[in-house]
Amino acid sequence: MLTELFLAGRYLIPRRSAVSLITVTSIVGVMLGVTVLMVVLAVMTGFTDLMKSKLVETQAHFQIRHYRYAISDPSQIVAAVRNAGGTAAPVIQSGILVQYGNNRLDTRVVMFGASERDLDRHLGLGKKLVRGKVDLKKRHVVISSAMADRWGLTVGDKLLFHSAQKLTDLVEFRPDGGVALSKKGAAYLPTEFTIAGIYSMGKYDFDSTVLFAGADDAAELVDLPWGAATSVFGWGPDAFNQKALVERIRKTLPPGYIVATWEESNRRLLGVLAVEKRMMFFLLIFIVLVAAFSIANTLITSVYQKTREIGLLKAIGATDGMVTRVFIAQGFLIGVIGSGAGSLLGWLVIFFRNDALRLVSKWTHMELFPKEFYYFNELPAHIVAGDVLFIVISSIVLCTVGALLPALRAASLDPARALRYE
Amino acid sequence: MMKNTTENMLEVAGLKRSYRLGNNVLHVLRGVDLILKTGEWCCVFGASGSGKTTFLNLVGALEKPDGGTIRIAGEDISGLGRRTAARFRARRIGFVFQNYQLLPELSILENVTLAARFGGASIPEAGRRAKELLAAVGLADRLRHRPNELSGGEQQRAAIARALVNSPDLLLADEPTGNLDSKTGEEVIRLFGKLRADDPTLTILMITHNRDLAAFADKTVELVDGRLK
Ligand SMILES: Nc1ncnc2c1ncn2[C@@H]1O[C@H](COP(=O)(O)OP(=O)(O)OP(=O)(O)O)[C@@H](O)[C@H]1O
Ligand SMILES: [Mg+2]
Repeated sequence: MLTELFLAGRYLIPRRSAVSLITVTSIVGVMLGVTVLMVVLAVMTGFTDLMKSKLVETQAHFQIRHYRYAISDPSQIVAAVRNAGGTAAPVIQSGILVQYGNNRLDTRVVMFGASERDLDRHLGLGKKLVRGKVDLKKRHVVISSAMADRWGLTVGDKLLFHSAQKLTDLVEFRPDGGVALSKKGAAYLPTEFTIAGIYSMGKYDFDSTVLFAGADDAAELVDLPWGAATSVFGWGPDAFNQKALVERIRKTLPPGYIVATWEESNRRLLGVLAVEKRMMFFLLIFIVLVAAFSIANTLITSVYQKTREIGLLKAIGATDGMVTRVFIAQGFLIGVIGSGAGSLLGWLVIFFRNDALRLVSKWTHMELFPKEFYYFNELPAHIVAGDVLFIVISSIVLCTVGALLPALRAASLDPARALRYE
Repeated sequence: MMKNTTENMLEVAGLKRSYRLGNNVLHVLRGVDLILKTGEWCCVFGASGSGKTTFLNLVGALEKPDGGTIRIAGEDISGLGRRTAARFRARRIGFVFQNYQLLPELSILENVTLAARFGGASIPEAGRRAKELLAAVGLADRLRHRPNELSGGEQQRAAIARALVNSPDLLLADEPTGNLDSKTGEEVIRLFGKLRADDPTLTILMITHNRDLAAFADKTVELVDGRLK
C-alpha cells in the first residue's frame, strides 16, 4: 500500500514542478464544500443552543401536573421534587381575558400566579424588571413591556381581568334545553388589577403573552380553592442533563401525575431545528459531491493521458489491484487534504465571524442583527466535534468513491495494448 | 533468489497469435518455435509489422497466445491469470523498450526502486538494489534526476537498470537502440554485454533492425510469415 500511496502522491504533486494546478483545483473544491458545511452547521448549532438557553431561561426545566384535576396540595409535589434533588414552585397557569380601557379586550394573555419569592428565585423576575417593582400584593400584577406598549399603559394604571371560568358560570342549560342566566353568575364582576411592574425577558412569544399575579389572586380568578395550583414548575441543577432527576421524580409521584420536561413541551420547535440542521447537511454535501465528480473527471482524463504509463506499470509487475489502489489513493488523498484544509478554514471563519460581520456592517452601514428581531447582537456558533468528524468522513468517502470509476478503468487496461497506445 | 540451472531458459513451441479486426483475422504468428539456452543472447530480426513485438509480449506474459506453449525455466506461462502473470513479470522478466518508458513523474532512482518493490523487495532493500544497478550502468551521480533531464542513452541505461533490478531470468528488449544514434546505440549494446559478463546466466531476447548488432549476439533468428527462421 505504501508504494501505491507514493505513486498516487507523485501523480498529484509532480516532483520539482509547482504543485499541479489540477490537484490544487480539486483540493480547493473539496475544501470549500467542507468549510461551508462546517460554518453553516456550527452557526445552526449555535443558534439552536441560543434558542434552548432562551427557552430554559423563561420556562421551568419540567412541569408536573395531574392528568385531570388541579393539584389541591402542591406542597407534597414540591417536597417530592426537593427530595429528588431539584427545586419547585406551585404555579397557577390560566388564560385570562384582559380588558384595558373601555371595551378593549386582549384575549391572548396567560396569567402565571405564584409567590413573589418563587418568581424571583426561579425566573429572575427582579432582574428582568424594566419599571416598577415585583410587588404582587393583592390585586397587583407585573406585565411585560410588550403588553405595556400594546395597551398603552404603565405602572400604576388599572386593568380588568375577566375569568373565563366565571364567565362560563354566568349561564347554564335549563332542563328543557334552553339557556338562562344562572344564579351564581348574577353576582359576577371582573376583578380590577393595578400594574405594579413591567418586565422584559427578551423572548418574543413569552413577553407577548405572560403576565404575573400573586398566587391568591390567581386562585380566586380561576376559582381554585386556597393553596391549590394547576401545576408545579420544577428546576434541576442542569436543564440539559436532567434525565436521571426526572426519572427519580417520576418514580416518587403519586399516580395520575405527569412530568413534562422543557424538551418535551417544545418538542415541535426543537424537532424543526434538528430537521433543519440535517436538511442543511444534505443540501450542502452536494458541494462536496460536485467536487467529487470533478475529481472523477480529472482522474478519468489522467487515466487516458497515462495509458502508456499504466501499461508500463503492468509490464514491470504491478497487479490490477495495485493500479486500482494508485488511482483510488489519489481521490482519497485529495479528500483528506481538502477536508483537512476545509475544516481548518471553517474553524478560522467561525473564529473570526463576528469581526468579519462587524467589518461588513461598517462598510455597508447596515445593522446586521436589528435588535427588534434578534435577541443577539453576535452571530452564535458552536462547533460540534461529531459534526466535523461526520463532514470530514463523508467528504473523504465521496472523494474516494469518485476515484473508483477511473481506478477500475485503469485496472482493466490491457497491458500490451496500453503500451502501444499513442 | 535461486537461479534456474536447467539447460534451456526459454522453450517456445508452435506459438500462434492472431488479431481480429472486424471481419478479418490477421494471423501474426503462425507457429513460432524457439529454444534459448540459459545465458544465451538472441537477436530477432524481421520486417516492420512481422510480429516481433507481439512475440516479445507473448514471451513476457503481457499477452496470451491463441495456441502453442511458452516455457520459461521449465514453467509453462501461456495459461497464467492476470494476477499471477503480473507477479511473474515482476520477478522473472525484465523489459526494455525502444522509447525507454520511464515514468516521467519519478526520479531515475524512484523508477528503478519502484520495479524492485513490485518484485517484492522491502523499501530499504529496493533502494539499495536500485542504487547498485544504477551505479553499474554508470548513472550513480544522476539518481535524483528525472527522465526528461537525461539524454536518450542515459534514459535507456536507466531503463536497463530497472529491467535487471529483480535479477530476472529473461531480459526482453524491443529495439533498445531504435531511438539512439549509432554511437550511443553501440554503448548501450556494450552495456548489455558487460551485464551479461557479470551474470552469465542472463538470457537476452532482443529485437532489432540493426544487422550490425548481430555480431554481439550468440544467435540470430528472423521472423518471416509468422514463423522464425
Ligand atoms: N492489439 C492489436 N490489435 C490488432 N492488431 C494488432 C494488435 N497488436 C498488433 N497488431 C498487428 O499485428 C501486426 C504485428 O505487430 P507487431 O507490433 O508485433 O509488429 P513488429 O514486428 O513489432 O513491427 P515493428 O517493427 O514496426 O515494431 C501488425 O500488423 C499490427 O498492426
Ligand atoms: Mg515492434
